[in-house]
Amino acid sequence: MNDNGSVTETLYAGNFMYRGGSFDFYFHPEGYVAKENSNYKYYYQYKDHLGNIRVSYDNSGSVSSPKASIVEEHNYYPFGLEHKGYNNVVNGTKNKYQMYNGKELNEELGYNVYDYQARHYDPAIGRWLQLDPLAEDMTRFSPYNFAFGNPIYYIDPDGMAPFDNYTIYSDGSILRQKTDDATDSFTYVDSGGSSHDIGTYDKNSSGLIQVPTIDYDSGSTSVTINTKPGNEDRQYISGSALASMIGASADSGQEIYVVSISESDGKSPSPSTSHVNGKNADLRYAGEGGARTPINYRNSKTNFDKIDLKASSSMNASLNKFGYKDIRSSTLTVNTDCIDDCGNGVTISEKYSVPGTNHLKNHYDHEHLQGYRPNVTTRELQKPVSTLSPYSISH
Amino acid sequence: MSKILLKLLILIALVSCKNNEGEIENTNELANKSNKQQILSQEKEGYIFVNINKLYQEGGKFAISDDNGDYLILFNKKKVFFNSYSYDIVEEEQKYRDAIKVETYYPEYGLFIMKGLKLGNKYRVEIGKEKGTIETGANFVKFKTPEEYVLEGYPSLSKTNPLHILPNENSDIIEGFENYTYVSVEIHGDWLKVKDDKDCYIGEEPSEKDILGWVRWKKNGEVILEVRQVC
Repeated sequence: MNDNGSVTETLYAGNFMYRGGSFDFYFHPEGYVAKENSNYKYYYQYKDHLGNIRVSYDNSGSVSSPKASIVEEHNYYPFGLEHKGYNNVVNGTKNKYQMYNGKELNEELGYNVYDYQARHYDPAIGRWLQLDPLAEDMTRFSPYNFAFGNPIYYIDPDGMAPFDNYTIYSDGSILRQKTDDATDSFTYVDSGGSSHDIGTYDKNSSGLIQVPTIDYDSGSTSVTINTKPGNEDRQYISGSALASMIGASADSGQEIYVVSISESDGKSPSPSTSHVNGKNADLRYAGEGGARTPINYRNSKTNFDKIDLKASSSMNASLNKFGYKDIRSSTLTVNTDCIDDCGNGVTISEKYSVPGTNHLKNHYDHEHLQGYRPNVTTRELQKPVSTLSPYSISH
Repeated sequence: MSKILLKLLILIALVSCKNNEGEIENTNELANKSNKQQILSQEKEGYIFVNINKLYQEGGKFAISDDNGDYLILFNKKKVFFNSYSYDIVEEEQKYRDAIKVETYYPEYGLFIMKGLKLGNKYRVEIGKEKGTIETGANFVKFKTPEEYVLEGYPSLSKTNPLHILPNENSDIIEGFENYTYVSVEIHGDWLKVKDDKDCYIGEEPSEKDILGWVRWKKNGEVILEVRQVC
């Protein structure tokens, strides 16, 4: 809307914008294409580490003899207000769709705020104009704060919660963007290169996540994580370990049923001794017919037979692939026969163990995961990984 | 004279009888005392392990009674009856577990451990503030002395009870001891020798070198070391 009250409708379809009923603009990794008179022109952009569009230029020459000409230049104060008085070049139509943080500036009626989808941001005061929709998840901060008051380090891609990113690849590798903020998000990339947003979860002050219940199913990818009710105070997990469990579930198609990991401060909860910092974990066995009911096969071949060995083999191989290199459960010994006098003669016995596990005493009732050595690459990126194509990152 | 003699004889007889009675009383007292001492010498403090897994899988019955003979807690087949309610022992443990205040109670792991006293043919245990009794002949029950309890579990060390080089408080503390889990080796008085566990560990891999040291497990006759039951 302009000062005269005339309205021009803009429609958004992903990267494509329609203005006044005709196609007007779209952006791409190199820059953007915009309508100029009745033609469309290709522009290139330089962006800084926060996604701010700093310089846009086009080729004013030809294909055989190119000549880069600056179309626009913008320079910003940390909270997004634009520098004035120098290099405010605009040759042609201003691209207001992409400015500070790559966001659209709404200048109508002197509003001058950036549209971050979930909220509007005013760079003049460095505050959101609306309450944080996830305010109750971040009680330590003002619900109007922008990027935790540190916009040089953090970006806020959509006005929602800031986040760490775990991109979990089907080959067992995990890419982690470390940001030391309040939440972690998880994306699984299947063998066909398709991304699956599994979820975003809060971290506590110890950097641990309470293991979420996940029931994701899309195409050939499914992730199922469940937790034993009543054990919530001892089901805290590190972000990377949760990424591993998501990867293992997606890779094997098996449900991961968590009995116990760590306490909220990272201590090992009773009765376990090694579950420190959200890594070592106790899981229920993969039971027949997909069941995850408690199975205890101490002195009981009948109970051992309740374990689905094929499913266990698949689940444990995937857990190993995604970082848990040492999975333990007890080996069951069953005496089947004896030679001569059973009391004094030779006893013949058979041993049964859960595929993919090594023996550990007193572990007939759950799988114990340890030896956590995931293939994690950590990047100190300000740009969220979720906005990058998985193939643009070497991992 | 004969009358006097007769009275004297009667008096002697009475005194004699009284003495005999006294001897009988004294013998009983001695016997009682002896039995008590015998019972006392049989009294053992320790830990009562209830095989809750076997009980659950085999559908057995197990009870702890109060001094009136009423059930404090009753396990019957897959159900536990407690505080006038019944629950599935494992599947509904979140509904009642916190109310069972004993040393260790994790039915999914098959763990039910109480501190108690072996007293003749009974165990005396405490569940919260209630005192209960278990017959020693009860199925699913095993008694462990404090020494057995400490030697057979996973000792859990902490900054308040750290790992020392030698078995005394003034000995140096082994740096970084919190990064390992331990198995018990031997008891020497109030001190327990432990070494790092190669089968159950905290980090990426077990330590290549052995970590050996001493932790205090007992003080003033009380077990002060926390003992865990699984890795």
